[in-house]
Amino acid sequence: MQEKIILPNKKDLKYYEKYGIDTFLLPFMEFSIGFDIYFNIDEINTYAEEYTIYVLINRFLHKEINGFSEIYKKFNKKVKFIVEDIGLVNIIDRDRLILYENHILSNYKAINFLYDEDIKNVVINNDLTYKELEEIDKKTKSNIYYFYVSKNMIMYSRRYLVTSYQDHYKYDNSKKNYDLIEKLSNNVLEIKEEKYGSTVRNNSIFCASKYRNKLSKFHLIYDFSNIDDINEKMILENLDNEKLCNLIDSDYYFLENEIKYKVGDLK
Amino acid sequence: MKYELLLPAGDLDRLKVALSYGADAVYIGGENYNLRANANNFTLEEIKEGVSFAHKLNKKVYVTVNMIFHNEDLDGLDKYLKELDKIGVDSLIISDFAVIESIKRQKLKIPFFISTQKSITNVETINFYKSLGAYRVVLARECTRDDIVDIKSKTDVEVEVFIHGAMCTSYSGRCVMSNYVTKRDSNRGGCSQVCRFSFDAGEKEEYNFASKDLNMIDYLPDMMKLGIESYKIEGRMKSLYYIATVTNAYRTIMDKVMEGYLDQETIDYYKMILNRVSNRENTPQFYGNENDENIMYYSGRQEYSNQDFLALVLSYDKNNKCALVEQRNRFSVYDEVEVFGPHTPVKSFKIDYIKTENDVFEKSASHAQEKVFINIPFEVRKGDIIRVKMS
Repeated sequence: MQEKIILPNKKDLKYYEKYGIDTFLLPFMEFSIGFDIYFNIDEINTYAEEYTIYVLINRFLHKEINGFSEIYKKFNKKVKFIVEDIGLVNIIDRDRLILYENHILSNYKAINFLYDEDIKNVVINNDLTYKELEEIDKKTKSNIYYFYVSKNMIMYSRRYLVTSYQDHYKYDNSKKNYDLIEKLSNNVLEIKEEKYGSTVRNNSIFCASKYRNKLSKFHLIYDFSNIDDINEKMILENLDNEKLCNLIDSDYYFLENEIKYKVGDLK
Repeated sequence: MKYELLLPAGDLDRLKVALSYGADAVYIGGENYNLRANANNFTLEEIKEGVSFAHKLNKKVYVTVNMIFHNEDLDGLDKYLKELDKIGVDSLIISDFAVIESIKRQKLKIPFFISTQKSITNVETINFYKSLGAYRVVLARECTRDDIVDIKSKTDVEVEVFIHGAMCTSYSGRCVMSNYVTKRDSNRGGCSQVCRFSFDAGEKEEYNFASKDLNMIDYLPDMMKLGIESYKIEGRMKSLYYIATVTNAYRTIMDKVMEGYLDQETIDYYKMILNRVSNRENTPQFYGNENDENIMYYSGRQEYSNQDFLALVLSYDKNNKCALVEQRNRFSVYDEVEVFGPHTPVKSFKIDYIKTENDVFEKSASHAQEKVFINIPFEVRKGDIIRVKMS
């Protein structure tokens, strides 16, 4: 059965109950990057008694992965994990694991290969066209999760990209984020720096509602990070509405536009 | 222990130069499925010739099949991998699970290892890829020395690290700014390097988030002590001169480490050589725990143009101490220059004359790729490089 999963921008999850939400994806404190809020183990375990909880770990783990087995034991057994670092596959029980290689997992053969390796839950790249998604839907057996509404995270770096700039030009470095306007295209990118590096999100909201009927087997993730209260409310009131994308400041990105990769293919 | 110096090659000429100048192995891209969609890249016939050339020298050729596949890219993959297997390529460098699936399903013998595109930073990830059949991994360029020490103490999987060249601002593979800003797919070889664009951040100075290049020459002896198996140079789009110079520099340093007599003077000399041949500033980056303003590049797309490469030796007449050379950048009579090659140590000399193939004496060689005769007072060989005197 298709799940609707909220990645919140508020700590108090009760706020979402009035919209019929009972399933959440919570960024794990110190192990995630690029979000408005983070949750520690106690908060996650408490919420897991009341709601269906997925924990998000989207950071690449360096040496700190060595201590993760002990941390893992402390989680409520009901919790499932959406993870970016593939090393966690060796630590987290497979039935509690959803592999999320952002921008990487993009074809049905890779998904089926992982299925045969007993990795049966994956997050599919949302930089794909709806035709690619349809084919993936038809040709795979895995449980597929999909960032359905989100200001997409389009870059993740270990570098301190805000304070480096500020230090170089001797600017005040109390600010940890900027809206960057690309001078030729006027694209706006939202950069944010945290303890473990920096992330960039696209400024407008990706919304796949127009193709909802083609994504009926996918579990849908609504990521409210960096989305303002007005748009958030509109999304919450229209979670199942195929016309949601017309009600908010959104676009389909690549759902309808194939990305070229050879200069000769660019028209 | 055997240490591998691994160079990029954008075409057959550069493959031969890299191997002749001291690379133990080269990595190349075929016409499909690699992350340099706009490079010349190798046809299957050229791959065959490159492999044959390398194997005669007891050296290796790796082929990158490291793009992230979309459904449409899967057509033809089986056949392509089968061809590479048949040619006897020494290894594939891969990212996508679809490639492993094809290798296994077709029962191909070709070994494979995991590209830096997968940003591998810990031993658990390495163990996972080992379980899938990988014999080596390329570590993420974000790994510190401590990370590598930890990894090397816990695995027998070979480790490959980048030691020189351009770096992504992001963890490799985790950036699609090119897709969003220019509609070109960074994970399929079309990256437009949006990180080198200029942005308005609402401050007085424009915002840039490009990285300086990597240069590990200071740390190379230390890295070798850690037991890292393979040392990789970035740059399949780089010139023949760049490949020859960088190969020569790192080959010399690695050989001196192994022979036990590397001194600071040698390191400083080659650091100067590498700085001159690079077109951007460079630093050791994360290995030494650098992560501040000094690893970033704030000059937008501005890069230096290197004109040190003066000529390529085509032949040498021992009796007349005269070489036929092909011009690459302008040089003149009385210039102090130096020559180096795979079997020619760096030596300097003064140009006494420049004579055209029509026996006309000229003051300068100023036409691109013109062939002229010059005096060289000691023996040089075909393929040696004449450059500006460095010190």
